[in-house]
Amino acid sequence: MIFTKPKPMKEILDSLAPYEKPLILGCGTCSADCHTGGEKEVADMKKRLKSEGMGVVEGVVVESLCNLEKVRRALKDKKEQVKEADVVLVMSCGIAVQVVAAHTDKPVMPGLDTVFAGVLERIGHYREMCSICGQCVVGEYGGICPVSRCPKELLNGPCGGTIDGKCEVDSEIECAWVEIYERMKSLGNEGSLARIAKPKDHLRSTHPRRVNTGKGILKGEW
Amino acid sequence: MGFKEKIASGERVVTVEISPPKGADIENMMDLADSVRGKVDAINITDNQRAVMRMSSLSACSLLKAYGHEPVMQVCCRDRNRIALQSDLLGAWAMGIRNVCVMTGDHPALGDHPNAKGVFDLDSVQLLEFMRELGRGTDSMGNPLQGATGFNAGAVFNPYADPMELQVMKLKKKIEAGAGYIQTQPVFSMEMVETIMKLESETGVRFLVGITPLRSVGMAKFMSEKLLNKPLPESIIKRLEVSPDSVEEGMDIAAEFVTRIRDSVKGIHIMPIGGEAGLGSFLERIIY
Repeated sequence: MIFTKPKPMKEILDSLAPYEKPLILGCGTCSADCHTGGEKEVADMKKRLKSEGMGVVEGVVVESLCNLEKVRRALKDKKEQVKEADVVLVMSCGIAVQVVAAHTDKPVMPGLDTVFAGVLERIGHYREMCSICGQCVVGEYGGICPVSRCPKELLNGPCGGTIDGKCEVDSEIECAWVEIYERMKSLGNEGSLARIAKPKDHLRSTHPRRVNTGKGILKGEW
Repeated sequence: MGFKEKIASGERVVTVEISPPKGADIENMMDLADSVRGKVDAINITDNQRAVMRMSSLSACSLLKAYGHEPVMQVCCRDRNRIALQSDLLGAWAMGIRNVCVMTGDHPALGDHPNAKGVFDLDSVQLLEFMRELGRGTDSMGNPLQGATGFNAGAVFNPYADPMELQVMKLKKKIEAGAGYIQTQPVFSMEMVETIMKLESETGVRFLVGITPLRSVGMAKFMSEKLLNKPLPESIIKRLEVSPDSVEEGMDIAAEFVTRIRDSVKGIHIMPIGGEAGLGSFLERIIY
């Protein structure tokens, strides 16, 4: 999922200061799972903004704010509310903020910071797992990604900063290379790590990336 | 005989590490270099070590070269992408810099600009491979160069990082990618020297064992806890503790250690780590 965290309330209030009637949009997918933009969080935000004296139009949770069809339908269903609002506060990821901005003529403000693509391990514990680099190498490293889990994105082994299996940047986190090595040993395949990995092709991750298949769905060659 | 030739012919080598200034004034650095003139084979110039911003290694090396010193330009992968790294290496060669020692580099989070973006476009192994291409007269994309380089390429090894076998795996990749000598982190025990010498005979490249004269019990504790993550030999701590002059004592301890390893080790790399002022005096008392 795309992990999001709430912006500081002061930052939100500052961004809404020039307006009076916000419409709040939440998302039923990742930010609902993160407890940052689901039904409860949108209701809480509505209450808070009202207590700040704002005339909140409505708080709506759309099933998925990164699916254009669903966003269009939701904005159409809530046409009157959108019309009445003078700003839209989006409690979802940066994708959602931009999608909403592209489909309304009202100013749009983010209520959350988009932090990473990762896993929900248990409530309150999320971990980055993917840098979305466009060239997956995880198979060569025992199912552990050195690009997203090593702060230096090292492909050929650990730096000299590993201390007791922990990272030099943060002693709370495991060194990704120690994890990779242990995993490869358990698979009996640690020898394959001795191969020199070539540098990544950053042309393949140049922003903004696009996939356009014409009319159909994106189909593999299998 | 130069640094590179001595390594090739199996002669002993001594290198020291000097930091470029934090600022534009080079007087201290040049005085320091002069204090070791004729006593060492080469001077390593650090590349924003510990991610603390200083004068560039390239410019400091170029200045040393102009004043008749033999610099080893340290190059880390933290601050430059593959274009800038290759570009600087071409310039370094043109300015007469012949020795390069590559490393990943500490993360910006550890330094004095923790908000900086870490680049890490290449790692140390990949950078060594790129250097080999520059030596063959092409860049990393195979484009021909007007003039090839011919660097004496080296790398670093931290014998304290765990697990050792993983560090050794990476070390071997560095050697496969062209590292002809290896400089290590400070070493304080014979056991560690033996481990390093085993690696030397196994890989066939020259290891320069790191030597740091300790100046106080506090420094010993800092080294042990923050850099090496291993306890230092108890005898060293005791001597520093009881000595009326721990700086002198630290130099004696390190000089005795150098004498003890003299027979088995063909290269030492002296890292003063804050004790640069005593460098000349330390070099006078070692027998190597």
